[in-house]
Amino acid sequence: MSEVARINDWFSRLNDWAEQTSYPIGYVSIIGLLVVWQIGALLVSSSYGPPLIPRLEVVAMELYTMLIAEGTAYSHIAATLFRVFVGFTAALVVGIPVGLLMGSSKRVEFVLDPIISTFYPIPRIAFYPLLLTILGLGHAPKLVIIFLESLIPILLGSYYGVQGVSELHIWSGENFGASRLEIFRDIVFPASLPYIFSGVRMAMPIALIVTVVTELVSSSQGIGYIIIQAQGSFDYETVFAGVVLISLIGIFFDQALARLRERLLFWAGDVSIDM
Amino acid sequence: MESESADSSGFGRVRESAKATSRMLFRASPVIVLLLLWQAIGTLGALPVYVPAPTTIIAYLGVMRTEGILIENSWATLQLVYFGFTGGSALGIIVGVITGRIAIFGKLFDPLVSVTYPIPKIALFPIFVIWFGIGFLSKAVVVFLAAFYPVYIHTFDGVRGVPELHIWSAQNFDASRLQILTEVVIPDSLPQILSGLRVGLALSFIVVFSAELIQSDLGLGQLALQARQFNNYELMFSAISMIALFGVIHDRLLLLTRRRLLYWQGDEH
Repeated sequence: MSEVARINDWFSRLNDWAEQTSYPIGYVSIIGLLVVWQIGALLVSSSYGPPLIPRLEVVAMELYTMLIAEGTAYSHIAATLFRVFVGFTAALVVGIPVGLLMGSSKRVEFVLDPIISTFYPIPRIAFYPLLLTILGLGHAPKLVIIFLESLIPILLGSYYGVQGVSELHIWSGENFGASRLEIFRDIVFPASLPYIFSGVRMAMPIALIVTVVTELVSSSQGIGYIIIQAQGSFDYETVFAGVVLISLIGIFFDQALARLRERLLFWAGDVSIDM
Repeated sequence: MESESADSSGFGRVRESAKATSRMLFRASPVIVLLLLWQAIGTLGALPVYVPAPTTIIAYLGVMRTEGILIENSWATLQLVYFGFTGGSALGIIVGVITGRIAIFGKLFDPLVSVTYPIPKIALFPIFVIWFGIGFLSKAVVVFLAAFYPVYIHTFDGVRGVPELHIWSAQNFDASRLQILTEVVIPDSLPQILSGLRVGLALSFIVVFSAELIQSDLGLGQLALQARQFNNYELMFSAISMIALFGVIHDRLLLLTRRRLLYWQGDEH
């Protein structure tokens, strides 16, 4: 009894300490993961062929070669970034206006809402083999599928944003004699920005997933291509180095969007859109 | 519920449901119009070679059934979704509740998740193929990871968002820790958990199909790729329509469950 109570007491004091400490104890888990990886690499050694888990320093050396010593990775990184950028920008340019329109016009909503909600749960990536047949092997099918996959979260974010605008704000705008354009520009659009942003943040990782998939399936360029090529030639260090590269890009985009949000939308709380 | 249906006459109920059906048909009319248009163009023979008409696809699905490849491949795909999604979301909910409720675990674990979250999990698939081979396990692991993250993040946010006041009042009534968990924390964060599940399910379908496109021996994605090699567009569209159908059915099932569980929240849509 007293033993249990003592442990309980000790744990709750530890918990209180963790709650208010300013030490970055979160890094413990990240370092822990790396340590587990390294231990795994040292324990799992195959006597035949390449190591199944390359050691950390081997992967780091590989990255050094790819990025600094030989610089072979840059054209692939550029190809991947180009695809994400073009497909995603197209989704922004189409998705935001259409979503805003859906929220503002009952007629557009009537036509598009059932179509979008049918397409939402369909994995659009399933159309990729078809696009490969129609559009060939170049950039085109990849850009189209990245566009399609990132379109719907952005569109839905904008749509829900307009729906969530408080009637009261619109009425008071009308009371001051604002025109419909002014109401849209000064009230509806700013109020839906946080939702639009949530949609964009949801679409970004999906765009990256789809980009990697298209490069893994068929490509002659890109980080996905590095990974699948190295896997085929049993060059496992390069597989891991490629995964690290794409992870860094993902983390970079995520952080960039988070910073952008802090800058632009500091006045708004975090909204999660219910998809 | 029972007495209510006993009170209303059979005729009234039929009319009620007819009304509901016609309302649903009206709401879905743009989709139905699109499908009819697709069929009409197909009947006129004006579709491009690589897009068969809906009736042709259905006929081909029948052929695939008799050949035995339809059920085998569909089941391979569905099995992966079930294993990966169930496992990943169960772990996501459990870990999310623990890290959301106990400060020290939250502080320790959450940074790891937010660093690994933006990594496209499908990029790890070639590594899993190296470790586990081309088969069930490598794909199941990647689906598991893909489902875990959204469910975990939504659960964590939901548990964090439970008002302290609710917990204090439960404590005031001498609720045990377990009771607080099952009767306050989980019901309060249920809406968040369920939207995490919906995102996770959609992602699971994307990842399953992608993994099968990349390297697989079975499954709908593998069928679609094979169809591309032989320019067999009926086969390709059959695979696409099966995965689309599964995606829609499972999403609607989840929405139905959500409506049942969250009846107290009211219907927003």
